[in-house]
Amino acid sequence: MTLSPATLHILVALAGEDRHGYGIMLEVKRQSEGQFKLGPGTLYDNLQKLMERGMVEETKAPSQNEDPRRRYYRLTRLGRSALSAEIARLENVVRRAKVQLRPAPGRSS
Amino acid sequence: MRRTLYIALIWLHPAAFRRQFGEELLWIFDEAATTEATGMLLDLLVSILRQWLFRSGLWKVALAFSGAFLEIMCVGIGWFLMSQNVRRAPAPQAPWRPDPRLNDLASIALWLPGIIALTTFTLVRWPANFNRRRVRGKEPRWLTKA
Repeated sequence: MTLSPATLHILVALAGEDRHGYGIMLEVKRQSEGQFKLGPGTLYDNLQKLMERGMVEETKAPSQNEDPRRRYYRLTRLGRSALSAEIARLENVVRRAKVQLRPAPGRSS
Repeated sequence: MRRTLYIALIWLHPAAFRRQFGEELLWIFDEAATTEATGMLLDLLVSILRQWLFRSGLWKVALAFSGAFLEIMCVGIGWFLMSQNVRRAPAPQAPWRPDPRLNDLASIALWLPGIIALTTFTLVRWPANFNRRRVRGKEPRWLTKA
């Protein structure tokens, strides 16, 4: 099962620590160095899908002083293993791409 | 102005999505910089289409109607072609009478799409089944006030 770019970014953002929605958006922006902008509609659409699939779940806020509108999300075991599988797949793709891009002997680049 | 528009866009989402994520969506809008507001509005607009078309089950109803429409069209075209053939045939002595098969076609045209639509509606349980899966809690206060 391949993950969409938005889903992959969300899972990566949640792999490090539990985050709220806006935290995920900021982390995705930081990870991609501003290349991938995740809007709130896309974020919650994907979160909804991931929660239905049991890859992400809601968790308690780390402190009591948090804004009650903030809800925190975390990766489940299934989500973590799906992310690991996807990363392994991508590594494989990168490895093959490097081999394909390597200049053939005797051919000038 | 933008905030009001943003709330309106949240309102246009299916009830289940709105109840689950409405408050957070608004909180993000309040937290984010004003420069990002336009992008957020556009993203939410796309989200409305995505939610209604793919997540709410509306596509099943659309599919049922398309199926019924296609059925009616096929039967209608069949009726037309058959009636044309009957008229082109050499004129008999007796006055022209419609082919009894046309009556069967008429019955099919009337009943089949109706049965298809009714069955699909029963399966989908319009509109009670819409978003049934994810409805949680009551409508947030900020949404019911508007």
